[in-house]
Formats: sequence, structure tokens, C-alpha cells
Amino acid sequence: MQIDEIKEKIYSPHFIDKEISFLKRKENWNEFTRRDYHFGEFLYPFSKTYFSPLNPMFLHELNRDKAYKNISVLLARDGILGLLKFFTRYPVIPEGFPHLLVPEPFLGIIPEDWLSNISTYRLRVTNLLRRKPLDSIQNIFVFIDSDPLQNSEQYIEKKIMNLEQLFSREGLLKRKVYTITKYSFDYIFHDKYLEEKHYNYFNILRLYKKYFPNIREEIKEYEVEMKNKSNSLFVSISENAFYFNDDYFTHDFLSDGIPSLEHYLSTIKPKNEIIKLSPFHGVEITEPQGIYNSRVHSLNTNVFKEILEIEDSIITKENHYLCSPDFFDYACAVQEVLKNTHGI
Amino acid sequence: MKKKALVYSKKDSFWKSCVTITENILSTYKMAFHSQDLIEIDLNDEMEPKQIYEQAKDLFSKGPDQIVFVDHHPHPWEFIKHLDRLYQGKIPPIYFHLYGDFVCLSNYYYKIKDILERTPTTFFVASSKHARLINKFLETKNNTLIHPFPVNEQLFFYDAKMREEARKEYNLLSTDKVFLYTGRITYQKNVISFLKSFVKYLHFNPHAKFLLAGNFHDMGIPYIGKYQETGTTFYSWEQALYFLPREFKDRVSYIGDLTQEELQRIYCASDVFVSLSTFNDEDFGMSPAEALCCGLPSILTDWGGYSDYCNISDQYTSRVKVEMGHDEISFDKNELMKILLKDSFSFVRKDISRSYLDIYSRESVSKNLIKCFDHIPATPRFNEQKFRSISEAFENHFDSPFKAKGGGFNQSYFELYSSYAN
Repeated sequence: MQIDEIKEKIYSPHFIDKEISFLKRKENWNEFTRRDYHFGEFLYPFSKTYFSPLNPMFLHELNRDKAYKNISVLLARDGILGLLKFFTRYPVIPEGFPHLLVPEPFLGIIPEDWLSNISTYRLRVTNLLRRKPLDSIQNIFVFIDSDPLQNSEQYIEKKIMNLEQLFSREGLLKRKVYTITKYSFDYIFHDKYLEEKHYNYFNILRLYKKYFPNIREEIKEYEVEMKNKSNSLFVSISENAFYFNDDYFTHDFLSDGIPSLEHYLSTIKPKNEIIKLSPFHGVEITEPQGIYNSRVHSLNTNVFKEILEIEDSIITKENHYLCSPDFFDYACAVQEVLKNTHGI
Repeated sequence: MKKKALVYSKKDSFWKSCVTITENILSTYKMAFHSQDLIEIDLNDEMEPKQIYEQAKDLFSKGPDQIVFVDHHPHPWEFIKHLDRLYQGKIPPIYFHLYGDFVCLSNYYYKIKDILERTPTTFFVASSKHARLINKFLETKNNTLIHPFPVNEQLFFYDAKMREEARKEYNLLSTDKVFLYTGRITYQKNVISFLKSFVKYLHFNPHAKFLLAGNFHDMGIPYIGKYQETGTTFYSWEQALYFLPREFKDRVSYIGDLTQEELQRIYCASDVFVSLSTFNDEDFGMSPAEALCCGLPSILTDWGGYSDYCNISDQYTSRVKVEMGHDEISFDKNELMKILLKDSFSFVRKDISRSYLDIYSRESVSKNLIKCFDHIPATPRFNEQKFRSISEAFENHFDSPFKAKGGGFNQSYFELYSSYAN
């Protein structure tokens, strides 16, 4: 589907009455399962929902029978794990399935049969997003998922070190730095992290102490809403997109015109027209260019049988809220392949 | 000279216009009174109850003769309760600079009603219609004083050279007639409704251009529980633009959320300011005040604080009637179209600017402030029934305090906000 066709659909006068009203009642399309709950909580607050006419959602959420027939376009917020699970369950396009937007770097894991129903997307900023002078910046918000599959220890350390170098060079070391990390069940239930279970979370704290001895302040997502963000920038530390690709905060901050550090370092102009989600950012949509990674799909054949076990698998490890342990290992292997072949 | 304690949050408000308003009010105190007679006390929303008590003790120890609450957030009810104990029931005269959110905060004011009824209290309100609204909560009529919010005259004035430069910067042709809206873009500001009327007007005047500046917000109509998802206001704007013919699309531009300096440039560059807001907190209207101080003729709804601008000059402003419907408060579209087609917006810009700066500049407002403090404050008596019922509506139904059974606005809303209407 070309961008003009997508626009025609999402700006249609009936779009609000038909699609938005339908999606607004989550029970229309989502049968809330225990796994949904766990996965949502596991990724919270990065998995928070937001409105966009492209209907952003994690694909496993659309689980009511044939509910997709009421939707024309769907933007997958998933990372590798969610996408693999989805395409394993649906190797061919179900009848009436909406046009699917998937993150551009994952084109290699899309089954060939799906390519006619897929466009890829990338988040882009518009020319209205301002880069304020760095010396006017008062608050820096850092989003980190401490899970090693989303961010390796080395990568986090490198990024925090880079931040420290930039901040000291620009005289920003006295600014307030707020960190938002992924919650964990232990945190939700016991109001504290357990070091033996959340090594990575504690490692981030250690790194902060090492590089920013005085200025770290951790806040919860609901507190972000309370902060005056007018003189802020944000940094999203994201090496991989294993669990999620599209996080709530990047969307939220860009919607408010808050630039990310990346936009200070370089600005990539979109090659194509974008669909604006706010005055300051939007989604660049491109048609698949025929990249098909047979090596990724040769791995796929080994796990088809396991898909049957997924629904019944018992949650045994914290990381396995979405699938069986075997499938999880498979997704890790795919991530490695993509990293080696595409540098993702 | 009497010592005044100025209580306000040293932390910026979430509301951009309130940050400007508070800064400007503080500067008028500094212009009107000697600095040694002003005591500044911080009261912000990050303070723990103990810190609030410490701040109250600090104020008490400094012995001011008058206590002025400058800011709207956080509400000082706890602070005032501490003062009442410290002063053993005899607090010096209190002055509140009320913002548009008095009604939303009525349950907090209700908590200190008894204290206020034995304390000389003055409510500074920014417009005559807001005074009418506040007086509905009062039996006594001498506790409200109209004291407009000041405009920074060093930033907002007409500059012909700036107009030329800014028109080039925004690629405006000399034939373009630029209509401008600035401010928050929310449902109740009726920007998209205006856009629809503007498109009809383009058929008659293809040289017209509509520029929009400000932040998109998704407030909906919270008074009746109509909430919007984040992003829907911007979506509605994009949707409205999408179906415009190409030649009309080029006549409408969103130009971003501007700084104060950029606002002055665009006010100077434009030809008509337009705001058709029917928002429930429109007690004053900072954007129209700034636009008029930059000499920009304006089309405004006859609603809330906007009406005062029209009362000052019905030549430089055109007022559009407001229709209070059961489900929404809208503006009279036929009247708007007549105003647009009449096209009488050609004035000497400096004359407009002078007329409004004479009233709203910080210097003028600071003179008015001195007069306000000459007024002998009296203890108020509140309309218990009204105050309690509105306060309970917010206490018990904060997410839809004025929702009628079956939807729409209830009678209580119409009774209260008829003071904002024509």
C-alpha cells in the first residue's frame, strides 16, 4: 500500500467513527490474558499505549477472533521476539488482515508471502523540532531498558560514558538527570529491586555513580508528566529492539517537541513523505525493497512445531512471558543473525 | 510603607501562559513598591507538609502587613491553615491573584472558607466577567477588584521594521492577508471550527492566509467528562487539512510553538489576530492581550476575559457571539463570516498598540496595583450553598463536575458560566 492510500484511509471522515471508536473499546479486540498482563507489566512503562491514526500496538494484543477486519492499518510496536512469534503463528496473511507497518530493520524476518501486505517504518523528526542551545538545557531524561537483550552491559557503559563526556564538554554536568527504567515485578510488588535478580538494573546505578557521582535521580513514569520539560532533552539508550521497537516515551517527548540527544548529533532527513504523529515527528513509510534473509528463515523451520506449545507453556523464567523458553532461545539466535548480517 | 509577603512557586507552572503571567505580576510588584517592602516566600508542589509549615513559620517570623498569593499552583490552603494557627486566628489581610482555575480549585478554597470569612480578603481578578463569576460565590460585593494581568511592553509592541523582516522570514507576500492564532490548541479553543469557516472565506478572498502557533493539547471538555486521547487534536488538524484542495492547503500553516521573541515577530507580521475560544478557564486571554499590544486588530469571542478587549475598543476588535448549547459552547459562525467579509481591519497599528499598552503594560498595571492596595480590604461572606455545591461537584466528580445526567452541561454550569457569555 502506497503512502497516499494509507493517508486516504486514516484521514477518511469515517475513520474516527469506524476504527478509532472500535479500538477505543479494548475488549473489542483484546482478550486480556495472563500473558498479556505479564508482558505488558514486564515492558512497562515503555509499553504504555498511545493514540496514533496508524493504530500502534503490540501484535499479540490483537487476539480477538477476526478483530483485525475492522482495522485498515496497524503499526507493530514489537521487537524481534513479538514479530517472530506473530509470523510463526501467521506464516501467510489471514484474510482481511490490515496493512502492517513493521520496523525497517526487521524486514529480514518477514515471510515472503507477507511482503505484499507490509510497509516498513522509521520514526523521523520534522523541521519544526528545535535544537535549543545546549547551555539552556536544564533537564536530561534518560530511558534505559536494563534487560541485557535490549541493551548489553558494554553498550550501556559506553553510552553513559559518552553522555558524561558530552555533558562535561558542554558544561551540563550540573543539570538534573532523570532516569526512567523498566519496572520489574519485584519492584511493583515489593517496591524494591532485588540485586540478585536485577543485576543489570543495579549495574546501571553503579555506572551512574561512576560517571555522574552527584546528579543521578531516578523517577517513575507518572512523575515525568509532572516535570516541566520545556528546557529538556532526552536520551534513549537502545542497542537492540528485542522486546520492543517503538517506546512510549520517545513518542511522548517528541510529541511535546523535546529533542533527543541524537538530534543534536545528527539529523537524518527523511527521503519520503512522512505521516505526522505530532508537529514534531512522524513515521516515514517505505515499501519493502525485496530483502529476504533466507538464513533467518532457515532457522524458522525448526520452531514451527514449537508454536503449538507456546500457548500452553508454563511461565518458568522471568523473560518468558511471551513464549516458551525454546522459542525465546530461537529469537535470541535470530537477533544474533540480524546483528551479524545487518549490523542491527 | 506596608510590608508585603509575596507567596508563589519558584518552580515554573506547567501552563506556559501562567509562567508568563506570574513573572509579569512579580515584576509589577517590583515596579510599584520598594524591594525592602517585599518578602518573597516559595511555595511549590514538591514541598513536603513539614516544609510547607516551615515556610509558613518563615513568613510569620518576617511580620508582613499584607500577604499576597501570586501563583495558582499549588493551592495554598494548607499554608493558610498553618498561618491561621501561627497568627492565632488573626491573619493580616490576604490578597489572591486569581487565575482562570478558581472554579476548578473551589474545593480547596472551601477548605479555608471559615478562615477567609474572618480575614480581610481581596480577590484580584483579571477581567470584569471573571469578577462576575467570582461574585457568584460571594454574598459580599467588595472583595473582588479587577486587576488585569500585565503584558511585558518590552516584548510586545508594534515595530514596522520587524513586520517587514518577519514577513520575509515567513515567505509572506505583500498581498497576503494573514490571520493568526497563537496559544494552546485544544478542543475548546475552537481552532478547527475556525479553520472550516476560514476555508469558506478563502473562496471570497484567495489572498487570506491562516497561521497557527502553539502547542497541541488533548484536553477535550473535562468539565463534562469528554476526554481525548493524546494526539487526537493534532490528528483532527491533519485530517482537516488533508481534504483541502491544494490551493487552499497552501493558505494554512502551522508554524510551531514560538518563543516570546518569535511571538512578537509574528504578531507584527500578521494582519488580524483571531481567537474564538470558549474555554472555561478563559478569565483573561494572554495571547489576545499580547497581540493587541502589538497593534493587531482582533476577532474574539464575546466570552470571559476576551470581552474586556472588545469593551476597550469595538473598532479594533470584532466580537463574535457565543452560543451556549447543551453539549458544547460554540461561536456564531454566521456572525464570524459577516465579520470576515466586512474586512474592516485596516488601522494604524501604532494606535491600536498604544490603546492597549496604556492599560495592560506592566507600568500601567503597576499603577493600578498601587490603587488596589489603597482599597480597604473587608472580610468576605461566601454564598454557602453555591460554594458548597460547586466544591462538592469537584470533590466528588472531579473528572466531570458539570456533567448533566445523560451527558452535556448541567444547570449548575449554565448558572455559573452565564457570567462569561455575551
